[in-house]
Amino acid sequence: MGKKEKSYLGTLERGIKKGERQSIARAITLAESDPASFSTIIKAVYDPKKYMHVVGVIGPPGCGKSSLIALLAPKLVENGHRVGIIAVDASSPFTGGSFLGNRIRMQDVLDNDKIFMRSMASRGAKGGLAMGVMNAALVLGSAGFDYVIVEPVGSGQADVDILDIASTIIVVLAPGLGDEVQAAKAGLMEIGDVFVVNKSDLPGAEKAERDLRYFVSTSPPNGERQKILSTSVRLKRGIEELLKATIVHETHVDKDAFKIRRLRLEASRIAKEIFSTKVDELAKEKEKWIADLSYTSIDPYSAAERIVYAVESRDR
Amino acid sequence: MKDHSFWRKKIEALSSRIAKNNPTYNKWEREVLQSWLKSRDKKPGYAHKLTYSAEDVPAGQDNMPGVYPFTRGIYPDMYNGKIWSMRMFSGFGTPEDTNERLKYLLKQGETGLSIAFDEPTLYGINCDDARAEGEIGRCGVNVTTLKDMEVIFKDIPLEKVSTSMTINAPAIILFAMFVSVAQKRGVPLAMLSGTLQADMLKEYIAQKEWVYPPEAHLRLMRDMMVFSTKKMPKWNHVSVSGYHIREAGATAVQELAFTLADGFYYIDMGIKAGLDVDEFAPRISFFFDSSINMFEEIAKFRAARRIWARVLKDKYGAKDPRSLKLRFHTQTSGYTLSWQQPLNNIVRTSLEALSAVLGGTQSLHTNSYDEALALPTEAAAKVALRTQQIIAEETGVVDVVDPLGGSYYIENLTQRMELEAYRYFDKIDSMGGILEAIKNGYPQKEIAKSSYERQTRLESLEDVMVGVNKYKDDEEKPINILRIDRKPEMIQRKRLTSIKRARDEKKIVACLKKLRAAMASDDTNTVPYVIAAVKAYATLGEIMDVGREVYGEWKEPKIL
Amino acid sequence: MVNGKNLKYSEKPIRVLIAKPGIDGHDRGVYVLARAFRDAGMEVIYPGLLPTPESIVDAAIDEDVDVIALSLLNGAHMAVFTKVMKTLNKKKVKDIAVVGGGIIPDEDKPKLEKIGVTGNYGPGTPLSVIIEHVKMRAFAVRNEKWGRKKRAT
Repeated sequence: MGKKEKSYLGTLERGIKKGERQSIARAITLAESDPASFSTIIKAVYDPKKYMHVVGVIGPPGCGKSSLIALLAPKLVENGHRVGIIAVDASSPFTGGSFLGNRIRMQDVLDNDKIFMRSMASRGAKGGLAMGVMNAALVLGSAGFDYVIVEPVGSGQADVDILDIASTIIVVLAPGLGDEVQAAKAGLMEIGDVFVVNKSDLPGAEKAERDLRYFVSTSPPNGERQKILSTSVRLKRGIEELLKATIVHETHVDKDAFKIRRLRLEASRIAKEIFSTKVDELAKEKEKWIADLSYTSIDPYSAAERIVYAVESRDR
Repeated sequence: MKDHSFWRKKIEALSSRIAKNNPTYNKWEREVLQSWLKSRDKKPGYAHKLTYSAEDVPAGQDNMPGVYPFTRGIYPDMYNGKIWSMRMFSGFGTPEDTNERLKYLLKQGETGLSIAFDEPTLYGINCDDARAEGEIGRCGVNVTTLKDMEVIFKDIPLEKVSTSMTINAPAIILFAMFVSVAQKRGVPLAMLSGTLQADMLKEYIAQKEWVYPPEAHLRLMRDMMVFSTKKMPKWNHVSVSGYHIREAGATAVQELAFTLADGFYYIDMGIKAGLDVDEFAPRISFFFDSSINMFEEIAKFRAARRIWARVLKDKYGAKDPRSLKLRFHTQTSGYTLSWQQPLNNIVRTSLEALSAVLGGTQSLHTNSYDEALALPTEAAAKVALRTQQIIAEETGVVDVVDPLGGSYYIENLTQRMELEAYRYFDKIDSMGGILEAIKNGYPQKEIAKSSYERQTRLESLEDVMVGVNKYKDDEEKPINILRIDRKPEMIQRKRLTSIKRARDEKKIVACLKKLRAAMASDDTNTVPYVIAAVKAYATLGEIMDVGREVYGEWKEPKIL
Repeated sequence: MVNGKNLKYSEKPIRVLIAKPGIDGHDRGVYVLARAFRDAGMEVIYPGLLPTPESIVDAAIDEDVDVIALSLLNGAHMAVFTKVMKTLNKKKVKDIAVVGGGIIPDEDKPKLEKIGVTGNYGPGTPLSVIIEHVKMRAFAVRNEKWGRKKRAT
């Protein structure tokens, strides 16, 4: 690593510890795109004593997730927290570009230095998140943001990647779209902790709530009864209750166990990536060797075992 | 109002009337056209029908001008009885600047006034607000208090000339100011003739200059509708606009459909407010674009009249013929003008103006040739006005009513556009109505799509803009344009300061308090309260802020 | 439209913030531009209508964009673009490029370039020209930002 780069990363590290927004932002960019540089930073700023409450907000498109987050975040701030928001949108599989429009509905609340929002493109990742989401959350956590709200790509499917990083999942539905049935089909019922019928000022909201209660299991996986709430962004109703439900659920989470699990998953992911890069590098290096393999009658599994052996022996 | 069967019935009836097959054309194409092309060694280069004949005119066609459903014109004599109003959209700088321009245009022969306001005014923001810095007077006249309105209309006889005001989010305030100016002069409200644009649905669809959530703005529209229906028989309380929808990138059919869908919503609104449809429908007016594809535009205007008449009669049971007559103002299209080779714009505007006249408009604004660069200079505005006068006085197109009536192509195209519009109405209904569709971003998404497609066609030269992507000049010669400096800002701020010093602050507080209560109560008509506040010289911003407190501000949905 | 996969030097997509500073609701151009940028492989952030210079700059910083694209139609560009540039300077942001567009008379373009707003494209400019300019400014600014030579890919 060059001297200039080292000093640049050093500047970011100091900035993150001070909570400087530009440093946070740039570190997040590295989290998304430059694992090598990012690893230097995170090693310097990570504080094992800090715990980040990561809350996932999922639901079908058009149910008002962004508007709801825009009301929830300031309430968390009033409650003494600093809130990071990460909103993920899909990247075009053909062009690699993305339209990140989540700030539109949040614009007014972003004028608050205790709230930090970052829009992320999925950049080919499946599962509703982007690869850099966890890393970005780590940066925000290190910079003193103790709550991070993550809004995955709003597909309405149970994109379960959010479970790896969020300890509270808020499922948002809106009346009249048949969401309750769709949600049940998509498996959202199993992964949600707090269920919200948004747009409660619209007709059909009461029915939606009743249908939801029917679908929500009475003996949920983690032993807690899942909470069902009613909110209206337009009338600003139900937000206090949503805040309470979120905080209460977070209180019940076994933080140590979740933190360990989260770290383990992330470490596994990073390790897999590192190995995967090694395999790719080796494959490129040994292209001729692999091409030769194809002429002998070795099956793919045996060939793979040879590659693994080659990787392991390289590391010794 | 969900009424699938109503639209579906119309769609079926219309589809059956449009001939699917024209044997005369097919025979001609086979026997005459093909051999002609072959003999000249040409391949057919047309994807559409090359011409139209009698079989293409839908069966059961009307009829005569001034007769339901008014396809051929709402009056039997049209321009023979009264030429359309030559109404040039004007406004810039200070109220004094605008008053001068209005008087100039009246002298040059314009027959109706149309006021353009600057962005701070359009948003209900005062001239001394930080956000207004740099924006005062740039794209219209600045109005912050009643005094500004008084200056704009100095020496202008409100009882003799009709006034149109292009104002939407703060329309109720400007309306109150206009009414107050008249009252101060002793002009009875019943004599005031004119139009308030005040069409908020198109703001959410296209122009995007709203402040409050839709329900709040619509409620204020309702108040103005009820007030003027009862007290101002010559006043058009809304100008349901397609111009902005079109300029935002919609196609001609989308402009037609979304505008009329908005109009139907306002009919529903008036009925819900307790008015009889024949009480308020006659004073709903419309505002369309006239773009460069001439026959499409002419057919669009005719289809609009026919649709409005049919729906008002068949769906809403309107009986008064005045309710069934769609009256509209037209503006030639700004989007079709170029900053390259600006004199070309005179030609474009002339052709677009001609389309509007052949389409039967009641009022017309012609763009000036420099409008792709700035607001019009006096000289450019004069040419635009002369364009209308030449059409009216020299071309003879006004001597015969609906001269294109019976044209195979025009009648066929009119009907096809009508059919497409009904399809849109059906779709919008299935979404829960135009307001729900807007909240879900439907018309906005359609428009974003159309405008992107247009850009793609321009870049591939499938669409040509002369001087822009074809027949370009290597260098553009600069022309003299209207430049607005920061002086209007200083003048307006100074004026505001002296007004604030002179006014009765206690009275203002009392007025605004009463207004707040009125706004918060759905059964009250807010208009008299706004008039009272305006007469006490409360500012535009102060009044608008009361609404901001009561109703909040609205954010647009995601559309990409 | 340019295929994003053919972008030569980026290891990651260009991030661009589109904003209409000042007060104006006419956003036809914004959506056409946003789509064109996206189709060219860029990540486009749009914060919605009526942004203040402060909110534009804050968003640009937090989103770590390479380029801010400002569009203005109503003649107030000198005052308003200057406000944005002043805010960037006040917050000591040195490495975000600013590109302008809208209804801007030719004689104002050199004045805008002097304060750091380049491009200043009017209606009718082919989208590919705007995209090329944005890319050029983005890469220039990145080389400064990362403090190292761009890696060949």
